Amino acid sequence: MSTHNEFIAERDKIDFLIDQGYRITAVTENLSGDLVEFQQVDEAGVLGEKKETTSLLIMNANARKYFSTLMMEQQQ
Amino acid sequence: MADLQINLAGIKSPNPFWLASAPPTNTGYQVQRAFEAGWGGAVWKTLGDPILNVTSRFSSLDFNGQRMAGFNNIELITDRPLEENLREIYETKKRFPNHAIIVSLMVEPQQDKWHEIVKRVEDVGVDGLELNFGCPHGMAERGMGSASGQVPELVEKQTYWAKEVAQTPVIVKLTPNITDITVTAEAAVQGGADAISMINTINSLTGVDLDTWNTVPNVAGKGAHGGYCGPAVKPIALNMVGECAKNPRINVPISGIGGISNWQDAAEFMLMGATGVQVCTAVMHHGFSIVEDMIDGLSNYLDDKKVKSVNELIGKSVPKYTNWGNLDLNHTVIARINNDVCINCNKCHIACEDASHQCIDMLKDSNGVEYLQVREEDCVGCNLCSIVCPVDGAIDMLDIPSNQPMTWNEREAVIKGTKVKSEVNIGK
Ligand SMILES: Cc1cc2nc3c(=O)[nH]c(=O)nc-3n(C[C@H](O)[C@H](O)[C@H](O)COP(=O)(O)O)c2cc1C
Repeated sequence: MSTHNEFIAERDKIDFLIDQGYRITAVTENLSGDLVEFQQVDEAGVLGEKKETTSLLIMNANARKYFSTLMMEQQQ
Repeated sequence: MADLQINLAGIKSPNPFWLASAPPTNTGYQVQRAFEAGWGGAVWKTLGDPILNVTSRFSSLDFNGQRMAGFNNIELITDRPLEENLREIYETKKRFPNHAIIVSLMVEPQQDKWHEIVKRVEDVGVDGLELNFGCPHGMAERGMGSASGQVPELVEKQTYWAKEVAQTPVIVKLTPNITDITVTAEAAVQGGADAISMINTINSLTGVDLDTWNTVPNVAGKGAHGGYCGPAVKPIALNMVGECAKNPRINVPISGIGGISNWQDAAEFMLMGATGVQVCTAVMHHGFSIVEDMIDGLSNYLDDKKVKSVNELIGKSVPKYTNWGNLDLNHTVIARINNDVCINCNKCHIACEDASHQCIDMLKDSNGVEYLQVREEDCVGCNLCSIVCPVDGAIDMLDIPSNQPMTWNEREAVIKGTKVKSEVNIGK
């Protein structure tokens, strides 16, 4: 798979979770890339203990830029 | 016509072009002819206890037909008595009162030695002094030149000793043979330097003769490291000038040296923070008359840019020179090949295929004619294809600004911030 296609595949996974109401709660950088942890927000947009959590290992360089840009947007 | 006069820490000069302390400034005869040719100032060949030189002394790195792309020397400071130099400095200053004469000095790191030479040189009437803490060979083995220029405490102390008695501005000339030149630059400022200049030459060995296995250059079969200069060192010098210019603790003017061969190089050094420039190798290669083109070229450039004085260039690019962590990770550059200009030499394809990201495809049109095309989505904008391309205009690098700029530093902050926030939010 071309690097660009790898990016698209990882970006789509991130977008899917965001569309499902997940937010990025933590990032752990490691030798493979970034382990990105997500947690669903409730209707008020607040993270709660009972909400679903999941994680993605994001390896592609552009995808790693992509999710961190989303995080910056989340914060603004 | 733009005003080319500069004032470097009180040293006035009709233009920013000075000869660096080196063979072209060895004698009054040479410096006077240089001033006649148009040079605005000259830093006299370094004075100190007269030395003994070896022969031969120079070697050159010729690269792809360009002679003296890099230049190496094992010459020491002046081998002429102080009195002779002082007489010629006096005569030269008398003939050219409006040109800048700066005298380069090097003595052992002792207070009384610095006091003596500073007083004797200033007695004949000079515009400034340059302390040579940079020559990397010979003198360094005797504890002078770069040997003392690599030790911040010695830079500070010797500058201080010179300043204790100096009546004229003191420029400290720094060695590039050090990991971080801002450390010694700061030491010079602490010692009271009125200005700093950089760079002196870089430790080097030009080559090895594959027939005799002698080093190049060598003296009766034995070699020793020399000092490297000329066009090849310009990027190193330019960075060092920029690093000093952007450091708020180095708040003195900078005289830029290293690989300057034409007015464009000079303008670049001034944009990166130099108040004026010094030239050695280009004059050793082409003679004093190159200054005519430098003056005309700089003057025309300033007129074209509608800049009234050359001083307006000083430091204008410094705010644009930052650390890697402040660059926008989301800014995109992509290559685009102009097939009507491209000569199909395939150099870009080979470079991209073998050394970059394999995104230049060799395709055939409906008539079976081969052409090259960039797969833009896989292009990382590294510039390699346009750098290896032998035809101007065949490859454009297109800038695609990002909607959401993000630097590495900002990314780090947001990632770390999220960790803290999530712990609070989730109530761990
Ligand atoms: C043959 C030769 C002799 C030099 N002698 C001196 C010297 O006596 N004092 C000094 O400060 N620098 C000396 N330099 C260094 C130059 O002044 C200058 O810093 C260096 O060559 C970089 O400039 P360039 O690239 O224009 O040559 C010498 C350089 C060369 C090539």
